[in-house]
Amino acid sequence: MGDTKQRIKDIKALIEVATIALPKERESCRHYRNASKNAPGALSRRIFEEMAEQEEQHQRKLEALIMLLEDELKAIQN
Amino acid sequence: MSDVTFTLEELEKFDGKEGRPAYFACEGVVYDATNSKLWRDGTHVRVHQAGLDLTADLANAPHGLESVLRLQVVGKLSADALLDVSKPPEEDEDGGIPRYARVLYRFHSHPASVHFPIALCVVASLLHFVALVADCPNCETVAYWNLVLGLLSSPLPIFSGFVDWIYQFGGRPTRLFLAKIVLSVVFVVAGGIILMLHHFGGGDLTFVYHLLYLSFAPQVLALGMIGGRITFPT
Repeated sequence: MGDTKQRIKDIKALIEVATIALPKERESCRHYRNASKNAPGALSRRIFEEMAEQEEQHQRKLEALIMLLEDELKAIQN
Repeated sequence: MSDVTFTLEELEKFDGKEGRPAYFACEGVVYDATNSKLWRDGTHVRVHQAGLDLTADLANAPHGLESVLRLQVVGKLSADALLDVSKPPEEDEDGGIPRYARVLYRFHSHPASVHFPIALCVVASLLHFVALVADCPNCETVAYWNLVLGLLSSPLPIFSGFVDWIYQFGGRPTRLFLAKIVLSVVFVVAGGIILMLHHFGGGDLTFVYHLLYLSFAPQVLALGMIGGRITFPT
């Protein structure tokens, strides 16, 4: 019983970590994408675009992670 | 590999709904996810839908192709289907967020406005304390007007914070966000009670009046601290 409570608490804390990180990734992606549009050369543009893509991937991974954790939480609580 | 070839239209029929098999394609190969524990009613982690080519989705998934390779292969995509899915998906950058919410976020309305009620209410509490200890009517007057201004400046940060929570943080009721919501409600209710007692007389409730007044500083500081933990997580 104690283990289950601790597990639920841990999962909720992880959901919070991912939830807080999500808008930061979204904002960083937008930030790098805007920078890539104003980049003076092809190389700097490509680097900004790559960084934007990485942030976008982080965002999607976080979204998937939240859903996995929420599913796990539901499974434990039911 | 099975010799069965699927067009995109054929693949769509295997969407995992209403007892139908759940097939999806990845890098030209069609897999059967019907009996996978990670798929429910044709959906994987409530995002990825069976009956589609999920090649682009896998590139952004937290797992690699190895997870897909564990599934049974039931066929391959037709050449036409492969050409069709090679087009990059069009994305809605703002994910259906209403315009007013985007404007509030872009102008950083919450962090820009939240410091006013915090500063004004802390000063109100401190001056009220000084007024009580030093019997200073002028301090009490200044405390009162700081409190009024603090309350008047609170709707924008409360509203913009709530909108950010809904649209930027997905409205998930995590511990920090729930604490912020509860404290915000307590703050508004306490402010309303203080104003009522101030104007209509404390009577037997003078102790409550002073207690609520002095509690304003810790209330808004706690709200600010929680906001800090969301903005600058450690």
